[in-house]
Amino acid sequence: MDKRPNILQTSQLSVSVPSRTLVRDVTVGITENQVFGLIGPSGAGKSTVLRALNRMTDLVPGLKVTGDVQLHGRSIFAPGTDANALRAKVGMLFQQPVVFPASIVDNVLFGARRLQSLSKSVQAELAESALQEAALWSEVKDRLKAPAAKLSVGQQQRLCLARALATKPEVILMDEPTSALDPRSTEAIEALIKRLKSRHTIVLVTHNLRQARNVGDQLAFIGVRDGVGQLLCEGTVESVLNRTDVAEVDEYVCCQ
Amino acid sequence: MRKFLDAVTALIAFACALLALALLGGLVYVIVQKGGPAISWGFFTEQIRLVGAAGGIFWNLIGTLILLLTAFLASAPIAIALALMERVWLKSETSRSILRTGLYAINGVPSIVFGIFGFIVLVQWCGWGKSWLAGGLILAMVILPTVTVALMERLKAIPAKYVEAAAGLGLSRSQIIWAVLLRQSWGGLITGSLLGLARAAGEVAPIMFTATIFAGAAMPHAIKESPVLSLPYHIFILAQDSFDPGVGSKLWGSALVLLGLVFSLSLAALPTRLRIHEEAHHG
Ligand SMILES: Nc1ncnc2c1ncn2[C@@H]1O[C@H](COP(=O)(O)OP(=O)(O)OP(=O)(O)O)[C@@H](O)[C@H]1O
Ligand SMILES: [Mg+2]
Repeated sequence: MDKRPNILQTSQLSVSVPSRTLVRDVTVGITENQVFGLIGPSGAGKSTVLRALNRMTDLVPGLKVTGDVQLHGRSIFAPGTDANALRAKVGMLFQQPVVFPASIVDNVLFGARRLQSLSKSVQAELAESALQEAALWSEVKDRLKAPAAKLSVGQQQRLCLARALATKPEVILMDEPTSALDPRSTEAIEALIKRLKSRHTIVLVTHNLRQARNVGDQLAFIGVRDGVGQLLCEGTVESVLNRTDVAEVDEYVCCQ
Repeated sequence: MRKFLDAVTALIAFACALLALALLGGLVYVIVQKGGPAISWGFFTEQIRLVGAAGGIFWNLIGTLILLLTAFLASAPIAIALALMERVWLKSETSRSILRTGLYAINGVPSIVFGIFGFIVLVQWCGWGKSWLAGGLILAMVILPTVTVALMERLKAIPAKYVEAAAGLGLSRSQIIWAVLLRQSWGGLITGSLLGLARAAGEVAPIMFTATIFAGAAMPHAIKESPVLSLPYHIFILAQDSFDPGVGSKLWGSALVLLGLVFSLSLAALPTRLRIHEEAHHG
């Protein structure tokens, strides 16, 4: 087993709304510089768990999170924790790329330049390095001032990645980042994920087993039991996908 | 049968639209025909002489613009605050609908009531006398619902995904307000203000007791006892005196200028309105 410390550790993480519990008692450790995959049937609560990891759940009225999430051994729910600073450190990539109605470069710097004051030259360097890291630089370097909405969806998703990278996150949460993309853009993002993990930790929700096998190091399966989402098994990708003894996993894997 | 009904409905709708256009066209035609001869360069640049029978409407135009600008500047921050309150802070549907109902109630208040209110509170109680600021503030109250509701609609049209994405980057609530909500909704503020001002520009009741006199005022230099001239009040006074043919042409000329001002305000609101629709369709 890997000896590196867990950068993220959840313990008995549960999320509920007043009428019911959405996910219950999720305890997983996520190792630094790995791609941690989350799979499971639709509606099981993968996105919900993912969003609890950087307290995006705070933004939904009525959502209650219990249990704990620790980043570098410190609870992210501890009083005095700055949820905004946490979200800059634990960035997020959504299913649909969300580009702001602004230029490409303004999009890249959208968060970074508001979180700290940067001189013009530092901004330009940061924009370039973030776009490089997201493998978009060569495609957009001649039209940084062009509206970001003009980019293809695949490019927009990499732009969103660059935007998150510009805030220097340690962890990037990705919620089905390629499900809106064509196969080539998907390939590009997957290649990127593999590269990014040398400097970042990635938590990836995916419905695509091929993708999980391709980029994942560890995998957790969240399934529904008794009407509540739960962690049913975890481990290396192959070990989880071969758990035919867990009925939900078996069903999920063979129906793909 | 269905086709027939469709055709009849379309026909009626078409006829109504045509009627509305004809009314508008007739109105414009009459005013242009009667007021056109009075329009000249001097009409805009000279001040009133001979109790309105001669000279121009320079200070009336300036006075009306001062009132409108004041109304815009005073209503904009309040409208922004109210609209943000609805979008960001009010959590329950009840409190939101209370706010909205309040706005519609203000919108329904007859403008003469605003005029009296301004007269009692600002002119008498605050001791301002007739003042451009009193008139501007009262007009701000008149247009506040229009501006606020337009801004609210625009804020509501901002997809939640933008707020979510900004929060995901680590922006604080106030940063999200500036960088996302206000950035993407200022068009609504402009549109709402222009439409509200187009309405307010012609109102006499809110300003006749609070801000405007018929003659003898120029640029105001203070707040107290600093009235302005204005177009609608000018028209109001001249209309009571229009048997004199000299006054008559000036009256129609002033009406034409006021109409032009109102139309330009509405037209200026058009581009942002069109763009809003475009974004709504493509966003
Ligand atoms: N704010 C909320 N209020 C009530 N129920 C919610 C809320 N958010 C999510 N849910 C419910 O929680 C469950 C889990 O949702 P979640 O989006 O996490 O599932 P998921 O595993 O990501 O599914 P998918 O694969 O379709 O994205 C769903 O049944 C959903 O309806
Ligand atoms: Mg999901």
